[in-house]
Amino acid sequence: MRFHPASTRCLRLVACFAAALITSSAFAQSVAQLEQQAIRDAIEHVSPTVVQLQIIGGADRLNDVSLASGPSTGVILTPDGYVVTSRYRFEPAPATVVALLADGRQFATEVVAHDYSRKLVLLKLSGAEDLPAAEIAPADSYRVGQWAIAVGRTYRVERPNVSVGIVSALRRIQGRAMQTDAAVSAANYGGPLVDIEGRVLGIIAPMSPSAESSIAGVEWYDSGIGFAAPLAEWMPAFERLKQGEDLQLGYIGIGLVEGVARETPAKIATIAPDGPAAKAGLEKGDTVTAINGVPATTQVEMQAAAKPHYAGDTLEVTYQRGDETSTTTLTLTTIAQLQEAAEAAKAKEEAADEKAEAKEGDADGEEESNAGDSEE
Amino acid sequence: MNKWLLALAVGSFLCVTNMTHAQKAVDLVSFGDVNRYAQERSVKIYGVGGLRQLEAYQSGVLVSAEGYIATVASLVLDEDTVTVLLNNGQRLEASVVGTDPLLDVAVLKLDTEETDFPYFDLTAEQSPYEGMRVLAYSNLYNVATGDEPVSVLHGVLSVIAPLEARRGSFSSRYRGDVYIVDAATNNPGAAGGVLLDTSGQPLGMLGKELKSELTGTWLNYAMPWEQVSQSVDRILSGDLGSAIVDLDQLPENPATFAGLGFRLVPSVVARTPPYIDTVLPGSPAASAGLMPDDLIIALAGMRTGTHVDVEKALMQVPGDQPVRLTVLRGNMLVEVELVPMNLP
Amino acid sequence: MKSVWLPVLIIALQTSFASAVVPPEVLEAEATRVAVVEKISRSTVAVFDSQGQGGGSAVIISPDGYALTNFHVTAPCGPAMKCGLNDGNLYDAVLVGLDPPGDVALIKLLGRDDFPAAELGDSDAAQVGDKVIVAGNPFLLAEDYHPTITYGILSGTHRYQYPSGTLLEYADCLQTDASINPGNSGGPLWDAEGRLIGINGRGSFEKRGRVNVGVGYAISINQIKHFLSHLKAGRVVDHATLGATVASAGNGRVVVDDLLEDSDAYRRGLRYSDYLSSFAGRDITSANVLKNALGIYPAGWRVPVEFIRDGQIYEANVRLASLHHVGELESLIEEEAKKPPQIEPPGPKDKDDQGQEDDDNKDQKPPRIQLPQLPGAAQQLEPPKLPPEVEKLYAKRSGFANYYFNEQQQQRLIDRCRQWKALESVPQLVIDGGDSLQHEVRIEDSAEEASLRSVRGQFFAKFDSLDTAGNGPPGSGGMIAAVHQWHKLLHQGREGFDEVFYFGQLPFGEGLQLHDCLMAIDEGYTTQFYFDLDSGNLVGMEHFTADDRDPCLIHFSRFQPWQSSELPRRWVVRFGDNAYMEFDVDKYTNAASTDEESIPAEDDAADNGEANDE
Repeated sequence: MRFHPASTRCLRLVACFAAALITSSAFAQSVAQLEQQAIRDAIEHVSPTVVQLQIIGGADRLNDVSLASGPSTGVILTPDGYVVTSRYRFEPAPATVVALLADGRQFATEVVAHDYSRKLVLLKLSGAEDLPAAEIAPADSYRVGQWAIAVGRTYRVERPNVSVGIVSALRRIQGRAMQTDAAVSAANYGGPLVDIEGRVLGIIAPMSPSAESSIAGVEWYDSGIGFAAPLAEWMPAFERLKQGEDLQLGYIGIGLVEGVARETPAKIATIAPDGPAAKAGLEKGDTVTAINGVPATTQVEMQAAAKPHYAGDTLEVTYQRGDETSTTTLTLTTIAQLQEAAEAAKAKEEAADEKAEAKEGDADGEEESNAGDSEE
Repeated sequence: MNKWLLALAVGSFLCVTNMTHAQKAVDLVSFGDVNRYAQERSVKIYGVGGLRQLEAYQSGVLVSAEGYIATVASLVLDEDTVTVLLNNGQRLEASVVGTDPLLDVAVLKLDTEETDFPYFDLTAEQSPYEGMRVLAYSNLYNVATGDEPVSVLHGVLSVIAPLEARRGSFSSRYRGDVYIVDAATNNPGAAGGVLLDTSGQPLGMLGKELKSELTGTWLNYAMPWEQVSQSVDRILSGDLGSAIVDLDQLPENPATFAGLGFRLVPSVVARTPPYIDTVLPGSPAASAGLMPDDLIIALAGMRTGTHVDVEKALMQVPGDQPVRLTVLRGNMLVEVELVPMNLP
Repeated sequence: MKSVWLPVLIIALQTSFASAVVPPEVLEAEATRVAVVEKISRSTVAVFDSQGQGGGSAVIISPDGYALTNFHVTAPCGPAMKCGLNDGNLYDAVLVGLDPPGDVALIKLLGRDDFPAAELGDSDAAQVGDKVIVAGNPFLLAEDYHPTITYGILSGTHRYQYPSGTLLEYADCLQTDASINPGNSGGPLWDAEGRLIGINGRGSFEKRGRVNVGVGYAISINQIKHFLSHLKAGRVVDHATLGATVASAGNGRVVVDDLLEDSDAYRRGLRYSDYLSSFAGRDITSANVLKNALGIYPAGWRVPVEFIRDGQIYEANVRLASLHHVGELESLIEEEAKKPPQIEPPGPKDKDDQGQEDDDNKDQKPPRIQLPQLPGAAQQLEPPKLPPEVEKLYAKRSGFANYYFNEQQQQRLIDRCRQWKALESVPQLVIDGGDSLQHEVRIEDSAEEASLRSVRGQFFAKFDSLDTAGNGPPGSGGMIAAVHQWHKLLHQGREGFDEVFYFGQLPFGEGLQLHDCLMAIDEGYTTQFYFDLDSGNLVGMEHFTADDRDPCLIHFSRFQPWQSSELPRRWVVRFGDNAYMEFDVDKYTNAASTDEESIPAEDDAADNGEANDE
């Protein structure tokens, strides 16, 4: 079923007229009725862009958590068939995924690239053209308290499944997600969270403030605690994924001093050898005070400023050393590269000097979040 | 869009007909009116239960002026009489008239001569849709006691979809459409409660606590009112046979891999993808052009994501009829029809 | 951020259809809600313990930083906690008062006198189906202290949720389907207009253990209003008992099925098998309704009750007793603070898709637990040193959450009451007056002895100890001792007693209006002094000669200048349900002084008999 705006408007006029006739006999419920109709319209508006993803194969459980076994949901971003969805069902590596549209069309898909930080994956539908693409709500329209409608296509191919709530908060999960109280679960992971106009606010995915796994946060399903990666803010990442580039959480390569993260300044306790911070000249004892010009007086604020960025992104880091404040530029790296570099450096060091104690060069764990973890 | 107009038409029809029917909720202007209407028709049911500390209470609704109550068949009703608390605090005994094993609907009759109970109209008809605002009335967690009003939750109809759900090893017998909702309606003690639209019209009866087979999550759903109504009719007429016959009717001689002429890659893990391993020469599979490494994604209209799904799907298909398959070959979706050889 | 926009624009151009047209009424309603959310978010507090181990929520109720939260949120924090607001700042806060049986705590944020305070609503006006908003810090998600907002309706009102032991009882509470989760504890429940109607603190979690399943409970703000002055007193506040229990007798009637003979209810005439028909203005139709009606009052409160015996309706004002014995509450609190965390940090659950694990959980079915505050990994570290700002505002004392605030309240009463220490330089006081029939009344009181002469005769007492005064004169309930304590308060102030503390506001007088109550303990005897909220005057007192006896009550009115302050001309003395004596004072005399000072005789001294209630 294709969406034809002209005829819709026409029908809506008729509908309004008819509704007026009925409501004229009574009551004060008109706003509630109008809201009901608006919710319906928003669902109809976004529905053609929401695809069902039939997951073929793949593990049934991960880290002892059993996963959904039914279909998943995705959102069409472009008429030529780019579809974004949650990594929830992609972590266990399915054999393949088939995309089914409400109008009966079905497509083979291929995974273009993963966004491990926002827990999304980009698919391309093979041979697709003229698909209805989702309309994206601009980032400056986000408001806490606005309508948020979660849409999935898990239970049926031909009809969406929906839940209705509000936007609960913005800039959660260290600035990477918006929060909603609409019921979210495997029934709509990968689907859109839309506003009252049917525009996509974000892509629903399980998320957790304290874990980076693609299934962390599933235990909060249907609890009124749900997350979605804001789509407008994510579109630059879409352009990168389209090129086949996997995106990962970016690491600076520092460990922070111990302390209550929300009260303790981002003072550097350890520097990963050959990591971005080391290369940029940061030293143990420096205190990071701003990221990209955004002040960060505490470790929590520093993480919120840094974690939205991907490996490969360039950051301006302002830091204080003694009485001097300086700014340097560094390029974020992945946790794997960080570990590799650390091991290489360690080996080199050991080779060079047998009695070297490379204790503080140990770069395992999440470098910049070790202080943050202790707070949880 | 046509659906919307239809809904309007139905709505106005109800307006007209309801004028003459005192039991209907047409004049319920405010939420307070709807609430009062719903509360008066909701009951709390207390039975024996107690097995493995399961709740000994559940919810129900009055469906006739004589005190017939519709609820969910459960262990709470195991002793043939239960205690029913009406909205006004009145405590009455009720006997179990009968249960419908297919829908798990039960009918109780209050032990009383009174004939003027308020009740929900079993013939009420609805046109629910995704996103429709709903209210759920039930005594979940036994929060309300005595004459205290039962709890009301709000939400929307999430989707109308087949009930694919289970609890432990028990899977629901009824596999027809239910109303899945986005509110946490199906809690302990909520079963037998009522799902209403915002004007107070009954949409369905809240079901038991089950987990969705698709998502693995607790499911919140209601049995459509029409089904409840038919079930009550069957119970009252004593004609439950027709319901039982509907249960899983599998073909006597289902299709087999051998008959169709292909084998899948052996199932080694829970979600082994259904790749074709070998195709027997001269078989229906071969004639249809199936090839090794083809991935079966649908069989006879049933979506197949795993080896096990294909096996289950085959059991639903008569062995003597053509079977349609959708396979993924490379990145192409290919539709084929396999015709069993021994067809005339 | 420039790089964001270009791709977005491209996508926007590619979309082939327009947005749904939303009616302006819908957008307006949404904008209104967004504005309300903005407003309430400013008053919502993210609470953290000082070690950064756990936390919960709270809500600011006054510009000087008083904030409400749950007892079970503050219990592991000790006297100090950190509070984040959505201005991005973290403030120090100090514990003020505790209501452990009601799961309420009052804290005070420090450092500003212009905190954004919530507007208090009327929870009794809230109805089932009303839209409500929950704000708080579930799972401590608010890294930037911006609260999580969830939206729902009231699923039930006047709910009763059983205590665990005798603590954490949720009487007359609100039930909502707006999502509340661990960490929401202590946070606000708002009506659609953004008025505070409750404090979230508990949910029915049996099904999934740690996450919301559509059933949350909030302590009603109207209940908390009764307790607020008691909490501001820095006290550990107790809930109340009627001294009688009831059973439902069918047809919406409840019958008294147990009764303590030393209870005020008994003394006011309530008897076994009476029907209790009304309590504090509520019709009592079931045992639960009484629990609800009773649970919203602090110990010491007085409420009107109605009961029926043989078809006859009786009315009485009954004083509610403490639910706990002296010291009992404190030991319970200590246990509560030591309790291990009630939930583990968020992690995978629902492991078994066969439902096994969930069924197992059912077997261990916890009672409807309070919303746990979020614990951290390690618990029970040594309590950290208090921040200096907090230390200044904290004083430890048995029976108090923070005695510093009680001292502040005592000082407030002292500063306001013009009678306070009015008789400072009058060790020997003589009061001369006459009753309505012009019979002479003469009272003399000094530190050593006292006498009362009236038409009923003459009564002497020596004050080797208060005991010797006993209940005399007969029929007065201890008037001579009462006068002695009154004189002592005005003469010596707090130093005249073993202990003096501010109790909070209690109903007093025929109309049961609220008065500030100062409690004075002397040789084990309790005297309650009542101060008018408007004038600050000491307008009445009750002296108790035994726990199971009615006090001698004296009501003062018609204040006249005396020396540099004012003293009452009209005294009304009551014992139990009976008036003992009523007289007008002609003069107060300092017997130790050579130059007599007394209040001037008044022209209308004979004008008695008029109603002279405040």
